[in-house]
Parts: sequence; structure tokens; C-alpha cells
Amino acid sequence: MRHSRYWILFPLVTSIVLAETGLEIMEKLDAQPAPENMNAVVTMTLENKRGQQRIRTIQRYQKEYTDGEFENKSLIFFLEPADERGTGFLQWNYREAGKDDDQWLYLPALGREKRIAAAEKNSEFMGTDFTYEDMGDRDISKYTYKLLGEETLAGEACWKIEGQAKDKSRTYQRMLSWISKEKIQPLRVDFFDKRDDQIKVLEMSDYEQINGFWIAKTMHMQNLKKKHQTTLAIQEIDLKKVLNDDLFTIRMLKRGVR
Amino acid sequence: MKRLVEFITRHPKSVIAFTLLFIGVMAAPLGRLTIDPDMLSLIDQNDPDLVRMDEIDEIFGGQDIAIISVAAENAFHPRILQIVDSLTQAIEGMDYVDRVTSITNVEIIRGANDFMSVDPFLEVIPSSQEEQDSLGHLAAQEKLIQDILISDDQTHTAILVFLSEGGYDEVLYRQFKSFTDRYQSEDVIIELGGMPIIRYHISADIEHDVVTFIPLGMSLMVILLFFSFRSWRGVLLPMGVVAMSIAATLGLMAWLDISLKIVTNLVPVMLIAIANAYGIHILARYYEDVRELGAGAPIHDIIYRGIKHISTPILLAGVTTIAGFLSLLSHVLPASREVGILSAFGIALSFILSITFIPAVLTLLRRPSATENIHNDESRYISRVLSHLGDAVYHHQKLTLTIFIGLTIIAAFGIPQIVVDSNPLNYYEKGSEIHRISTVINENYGGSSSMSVVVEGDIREPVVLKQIEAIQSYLDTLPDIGYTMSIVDFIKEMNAAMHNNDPRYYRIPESRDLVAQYLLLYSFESSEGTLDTYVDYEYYQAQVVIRISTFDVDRMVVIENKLNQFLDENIRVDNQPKAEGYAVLIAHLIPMMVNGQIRSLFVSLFFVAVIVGLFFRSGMAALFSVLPLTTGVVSVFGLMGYFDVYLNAGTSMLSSIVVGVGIDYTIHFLYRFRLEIRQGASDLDALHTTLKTTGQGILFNALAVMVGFSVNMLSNFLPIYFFGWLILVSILVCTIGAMTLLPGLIMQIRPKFVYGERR
Repeated sequence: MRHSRYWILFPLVTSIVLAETGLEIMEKLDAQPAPENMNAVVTMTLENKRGQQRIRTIQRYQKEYTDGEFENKSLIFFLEPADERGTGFLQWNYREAGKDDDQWLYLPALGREKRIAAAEKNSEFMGTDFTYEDMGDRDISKYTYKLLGEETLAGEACWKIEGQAKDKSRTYQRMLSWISKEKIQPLRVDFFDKRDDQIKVLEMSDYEQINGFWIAKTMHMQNLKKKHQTTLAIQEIDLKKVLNDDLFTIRMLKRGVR
Repeated sequence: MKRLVEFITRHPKSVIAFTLLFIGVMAAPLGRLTIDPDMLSLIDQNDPDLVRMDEIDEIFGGQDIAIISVAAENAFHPRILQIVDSLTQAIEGMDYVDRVTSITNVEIIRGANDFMSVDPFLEVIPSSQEEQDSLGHLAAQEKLIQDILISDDQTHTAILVFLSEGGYDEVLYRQFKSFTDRYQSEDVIIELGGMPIIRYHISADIEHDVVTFIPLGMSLMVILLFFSFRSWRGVLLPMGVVAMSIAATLGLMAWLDISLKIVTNLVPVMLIAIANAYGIHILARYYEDVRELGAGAPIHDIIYRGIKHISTPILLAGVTTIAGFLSLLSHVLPASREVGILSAFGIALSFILSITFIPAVLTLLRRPSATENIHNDESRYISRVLSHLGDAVYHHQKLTLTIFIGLTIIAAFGIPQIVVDSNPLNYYEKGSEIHRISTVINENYGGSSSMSVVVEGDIREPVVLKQIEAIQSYLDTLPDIGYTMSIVDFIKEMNAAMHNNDPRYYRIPESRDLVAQYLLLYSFESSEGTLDTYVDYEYYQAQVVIRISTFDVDRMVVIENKLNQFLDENIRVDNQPKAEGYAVLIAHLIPMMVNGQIRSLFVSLFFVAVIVGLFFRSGMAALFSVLPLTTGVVSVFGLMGYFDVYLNAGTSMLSSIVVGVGIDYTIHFLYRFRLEIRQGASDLDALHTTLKTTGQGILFNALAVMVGFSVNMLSNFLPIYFFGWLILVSILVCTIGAMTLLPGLIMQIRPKFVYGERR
């Protein structure tokens, strides 16, 4: 057998790993560096329970700040379909806790921008099945974690971790995560509501290491309650090019797709 | 027949055991019997309009909405808003609740000072009078709120509960009730309405009817039988047969997965009223034969004699009754067909049990003493009255005919005034809970019934949107329209909001791209699937929802016809749209009921006449037999017209049941009268004898039927209630007709099938 010479090490590794708590693994995951600059073309496929689809392509720029007033800024343009092309969406996310995001919208057919109300963290991002919270980092301090064991998922060894909400008001009261041991990245998350009914399944696949970052090129979220699903597929991605601060302004929002 | 009687009297225990086993097997799945309160379950499930309505529900989401109405002096009072908020949150947490829309969570589109948002109408509960007033002012300007969630005078506010499939109406109702009871007080009136709630009430009332009518009808019948037979076997045997045929018939429903519906719950009552007759005849004959042959005669002789004697007219009466019920198979409504086949089954079974099970039990019992008999003082009194009646008819033959024909003509003038109705909301009296809440909904929230128009095409194209707008503008000019709502209303709101709420921009934009971008924006901003009701996922189909604020189905038909005419003449899109939805479907039930009524009436008259004609071997007999029935049927419809009794799912079955049951009296009378004439009696003697013997039997039989059906008058359902009293009147007319009109005619016309041999 190919792996036979490692067998003696195996029990040792396992015991070390099991010694890690669920929280420690989640902290490790949380500590994974996020790319500072991102420029991606993403296809969003929305599908309703009758199997009908709405397919859109967006260009997304995002910049993470390590310090200062902002946590991050993002700018999104719709590329397809043609009648939505140029519709833009600018978001400034503040570091200060409790301070609402600033968001602007630009409709090219109207020729003017509008400031729009800040979205709730648990509301859906652009009509998809992802909430803003699902898209961004989750605050791991809001949950208690327990390592349930190890499982193999899609051929990868994973930790199976259960997160329980500390606060009864959270949309997701319980989450089951499968974290790849190799990549320290989630492959799958099951979400449960107050009644402990499963409401959503998130699957992250086609991981690629780009400039040292693990990027899931396909994210699939299924809303079991609404029988609606969203697939986000990254078509192009650039993490190298440093994005200028000037990009994330109303002037650029109005200037539209280049 | 002789061999059958021999077998029964020789093996009575086997017959009884087999009967009980058979009934046991038939009744075994009784527990599985279900109740289906949905009005639409009366219709053929393959009906194209019904299939289309399910399709519309599939595309735009179901419209199964419970409405909780909160009424107070001012709906924007902080205390009321607090209640609405608590109720909204409590109900949102319930199982099988898809979403809840109320004044405390509804989203509106705002736009001012280069700022746009789709967010809750109520941001905070007002703490001062000024804030409360400004909230009221704001609501009055919101097209998506005013008259939908809040009444014109702002005293009523609605909580709309969109239900998902799979919930039980009763469980939902109880949960709603447990929440609303907490806040109910003298100055806050909370009421529950909408289709799921109505279904619950109908279901509970069907159960109530079945549970109370069977024991009550049986008890009344037991009392009636006891007073006529004065013996327990005379009561228990016919009632035992009735009970067994009811159990087997309900069991058959469970075997065949037929649920109890608003009309099928008539079946047990019908069996109680009608199916006892055969057992009663067998027993009456049994007592008579015991008296004549002596208690010591062999049981086989007594029973054979009894069965031989009664077999002809009773069998004929049974066959015609079954034919009457089977005529309902020609009815358009499947539920009425079910009533026909189930009642026919129950009656046939009770007939068979009466000539097998009852003799078997009688074989095992001791002979009654000669003093036990059915003739008593009352019957002597009745026979005196009947012979006076005979005298009167004999001496005033032309007057009798004139009076009858005159009354029938007067009744006939009522027929054109009959109102046909198919709206389940009219199944309840004015003043009942359902009627009250539905009135509240009609007056304050647009209406308790709905129609829709589905427009197909590129929905984002302004040309198409303008056509939808034209449909809505036209509808606004029609009476009885609560409100209309479509994607156009949202697009206009968005356009105004994006132009700082400038009222000049409350219109459809000229650019298709802008419409597409508004819709994209709305899909980002709204957390609820509000637009899903109005446009499909691919923006190819749009639904105009029309709320209708009348109970009157005729007025719904007017809306449907005018709307269809407008659509034909003015609207040009991919597929020609038309009026559809719930109100259209119940409007289509009307011709189904009328056709069903007419068709089953003629089918039953035809078959009954054919059976009677074959039996007497005379076409004239067939004609004579239907005459008293015709007066009965005409008087029923006349009364319905004069007294505003609606022709509906229940009453549309009346005619063939009246024909099937009412023919019995004619048959009995004709049979005996002819027998007397042929034996050489004079007209007057034949009339006297017939009335005193068979006449008493007819009266008793009719009385039993009337007593049996009278329990229907306790029903909460108007169709069942009116069914009860109309059948009472018509049976009475048929009985009197058989005893007066019929002899009068026979003596005047002197037909061959009666007098033949003399000429």
C-alpha cells in the first residue's frame, strides 16, 4: 500500500488533532489571511423551485483595509444581461462597531445615483440566497464550538464542527461545518433555525490556491425553506493588482463598467 | 324466492353471522373517513378552469391567506400597533406559515433627498399624538397599504397570513385563536377570516352535522316506530338495518377514499329517512300474518307469506327510489354524483338486509302474542279522517283537480325568480361568524373573493406594462371591485421614489432598461417575495390581482363578462388574457348547478316513468305516475323562488331525490286502487279501501321520511337547512297529490290500465 509507511504516525497525528478544540480550529480558520485586493468576474445563477433561472454576471472589486476608518470597500457592476448592464453598487463598510454601512446605487437608465438604506446583516445579498453575513466574515465570538469528529467529504479529510449560537435571536441557531484539514477552509456548512430545522446548505468547491490564498471558485447556497438556490461561480479573478482608493467613489460608480 | 326464505329460516344464525361479518368488513376503515371542506372539491378535479387555477397558484404562489382583522377606535394607537406587532411575530413563528404581512412589518418604497429605500412602513411605534397622526397621514397616501392592510377610516387593520401547504386548518385556527384571545377586549375586536378559516368552520360544521344528525335522526325514528309498533323488535330491527347500511355506506366511502363534503354529509340522513321503509313493511306484514295464521304457524310460512305479499309494490318502490338517486349520476358536479351512488348503495343494501337479516332474526325470536299489533286507536281515527278525504275527493273531483292545477300554476310563477348561488360564503346566515368577518373583509380590505388576469409577454417592456395599467384602470370603473394590484403599481412607486417622490413620476417609465433596473433594485432591497405574486421568475407572465367586495355571484359574473369583453377588444399581448381565478371558478359552478338540476330531474322522471310504465304495462300509467311528482317538484322550485332560497350545491339535488322518494306513494296508491277496481269495487269503495289501508301506510311512510329529514333543519349550513325543509314540503305535496290529485284524475279520465277489464 502506498501509505503504509505513514501508518505508524497516523494515530499520533489524530490524537494531536483531536486535542484541538472546535474553537481553536475556528480561530485558525478565522486567522486565514483574506486577499487585500480582489477584482473578480462572477456569474450568479439564481434558481427558483420550478427550476427557472436568472443568470447575471457581475464585476466585483473589493479592498480590505488593515487599519483606519474602513474595514473594507466594494464596488459591483452588472455586466449581463444587457438591460441591467452598468447598474452599480458601492459599499463602504466601517470598522467602528455598530456603524451602518454606506451604500449607493447607480441606475444607468436613470442616469443618477441614489444613496440606499444600509442592509441588515441577515438580509439577502442582491436577491441571492446568501446573506451579507454569509458573504463576509462571520464573527466567531457569537457562537460556541464543539468538535464532533472527523469525516471525509469529497475525498478530503475534514473536521466536523458544531457551532451553537450564544444569542437566541440569531437567524442561524446552529451550524454544522466541515473544515478541510489540508486547506483550513470550509467545504460545507449546514444551517439550522430556532426550531432546529435545517434551512440552508452551503457548499464551497473548486478551491484554487491563488497568490497563496485558497479561493473557492464555486459557492452554492441552497435555501431549503424557500426551495431557491444560488450558485456563484468565479470566472476571472485577480488578487495581485493593487486597487486604488479612488476606485471606490461615487464618481467611479457613475462612470460605470470599463 | 321460496328457496331463499327456506335457506334463511333454516340457517338463521349463519345469515346473521354473515351479515355482521360483511358489515364489519365494510365498516372497518371508518376511522379513515376524511372531511374535505374545500368548496372546489365539489368540482371535477380535471375541470380545465380548476387545473388552470392550480397552474396560476404554482406560478405566482398560492393565495391561501388567512386574514386577522383588528378593529379599534384608531388602528395607529400605540397599544393597537403593539398588539398587531406581537401577533405578527407570534404567527411568523408558526409552522406552515410562509410569511405574514401586517402594518407593523409591511415594506414600502421611500424616496426623498436622493435617498431610496424599501423598508418597513412602521419604523418605531409612535410615542406621541403627533407621531400617531403623521403615521395615519402617511398610510392614507400609500397605495400598497390603504384599503389593503388598513380601512379607509383607519379603524380596522389586517394581518395577512400566507400559508404554505400541508398545514391543518383546525390546528392553525386554534393556534391563531390562542394568540388573538390574549388581546381580545371590549375596545379591541379581533376576528379571523379568509379561506383557511372558512374551511375550518365548514369542516367543523360537517363534523357537527354528522355527529349530531345520525343519533338525533335515529332517536326520532325510534320514537316514531315505537309509537306505531309498540314493540321493541318493531323498533330495533328496522333501525338496526338502517344503522348497518349507514355504517357500510360510510365504510364504502372510506374504502373508495371519498371524503365527506358539504353535500355528501346528507347521505346518512337520507338513509335514516328513507332506508327504514323496507324493514317497516316487512315487520308490519309479519305482525299481520302472525295474527292471521296464528302464533303457532311454522315460521317459514309466516315469513314466506310476508315476503311474497310485499315483494311487488315494495320492490317497485325500492327500485324507483334507487333509480331516482342514480339519476344524480347525470349531475355535472362530481360531489352530487357521489351522493347519488352512495345513497343508492345504502338503500339497496337496506332493502337486501330487510328481506334477509330481519327474517333471520325473526326466526330466532319467539312469536309475538296476538295482542301485539300495529292497529290502535289513533289509526282508527286516522282511517276516519282518510275516509272523509275519500268522500271529499269523490264528490268534488273537478274542484280537486282545479285547486291542484291552480296551486301548481301559482307555484310555477315563482320558478323564474330562483336565485342560483355558488359562493360558499352564502352557506352561512347573515349574523353568523363567517358572514360577519367576510363582510368586514368586503368593506375594509378589498374583498373576500378574487379574480386574476394573467398577461403574457415581455413584462419589462413599457408597452406591455401600459396594457396592464389599462386593464386596471378599466376595472376601477366597474362596481364591486375592492382594489386591483399588479407589478405596475410597484414600478410606478419605484419611479416616483427614484424621482424624490415627485407625483409626476408616478407612471410607467418609457425605457425598458429602466424598468429592468428598477426590478433588479427591488429584488435587492425587498427581503420578502412580494413581487412573486405579480410577476413570474422569467418576467414573462404578470398577474393582475383583483379583489371583489360582493358575496353575489351574479355580480361576479357581470365583472367577468365585462372584463373579458374589454380584454378582447383592447388588449394585444402574446396570449389573449381572460378573467380567471377563484371568483370565476365559483361563477362557473352556477351553470353546472342549473344544468345538473335540470338534467338529473329529467333523467329521474324518465327512468321512474319507464319503470312504472313497464310494471303496469301502460304508457298512461307512466304519465299518471309522474303527475303528482311534477306538482311536488314545481312547488319546491316555486317556493324557492318566492322565499329567496338559493339554488346551490345542496338544493340542486332536490328534484331527483323528490322524484325517487315521492314516486313510492303514487305506486302504492295505484297498485291498491287498481286491485280494488279489478276485484269489482265501485270508485267510491275502491277509494275508501285504498285510503284506509294503503293510505295509512303511505301517510306513515311519508311521516317517517319527513321526520328523518327534519334533522337537516338543525344544520348550520343554509343549503342543508333548506334542503331539509324543502324536501319536507315536497314530500307532503307528493303524498297529498297521490291521495287526491291522482284518484281525481283517474276517476275523471278512467284510463285503461286501471279500468281496462271492465270495458
